Amino acid sequence: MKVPPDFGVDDSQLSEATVPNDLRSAKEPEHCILRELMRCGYDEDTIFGIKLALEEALTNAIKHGNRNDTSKHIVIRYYVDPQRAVIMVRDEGNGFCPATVPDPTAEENLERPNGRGLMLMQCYMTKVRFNEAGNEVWLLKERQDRLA
Amino acid sequence: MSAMPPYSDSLTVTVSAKNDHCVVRLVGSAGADHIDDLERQLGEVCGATNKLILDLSALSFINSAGLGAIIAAHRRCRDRGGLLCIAGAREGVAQVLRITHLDRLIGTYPDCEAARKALGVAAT
Repeated sequence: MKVPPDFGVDDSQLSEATVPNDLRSAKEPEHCILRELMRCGYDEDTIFGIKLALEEALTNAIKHGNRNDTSKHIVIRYYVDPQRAVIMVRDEGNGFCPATVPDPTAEENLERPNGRGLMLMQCYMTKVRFNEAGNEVWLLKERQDRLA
Repeated sequence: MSAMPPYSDSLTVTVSAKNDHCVVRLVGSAGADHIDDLERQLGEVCGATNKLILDLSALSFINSAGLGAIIAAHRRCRDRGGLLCIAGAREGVAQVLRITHLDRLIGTYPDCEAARKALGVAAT
């Protein structure tokens, strides 16, 4: 899947990294993205939110998508300029249907130890899109977009 | 390009045992790469006391994995007839607690003194 057309960037502008399926390996591209955000002058709150959404996407890909299989890989694509940050995370799994994820803020789900990643991505990012299979997520953060 | 990440990825956990409660202070970042250690340490504390204050005043970042470790500790304390309170969370972390509605599940207080009052314990 190419970058969604309403994300405001061309596919050719994105950088790409493929890393082994573990959180430690995913730190290097994460740090590259965070450094780009700092270089472009994003404020601390915005960087916090993008870091949070990115780590949720990476965790979902590594643990749920690739099921912690160390023979698999994840692909990260990203673009950062002073107006927007675009990030894609793709795993080799079978995907999932985001609409079937239970609401983690429902009273009966509050004590569940997991299930909050998708909701946090949606809260902190301007737009969140999945491909049809559900193994590729696109995150957009527009700079002027503030968390309500 | 600098080799240093803009956020610390380290997490330091300090446990202070008092007469009738424990204060666990988290310093740094509670992300997925530290969760096994955090859950283990919180599990050990919950085995020794059922009144626990989590001091988050020096915690700069948390994600859903970190929240999961806190929820597990909350359940252990409650199941043993006790209580877990959160003290001093910075705005970024406090916002995550609000968004996920965990501030409705776990008492959050501006500092450890206020949390001690809620638990009915003394500082010593």
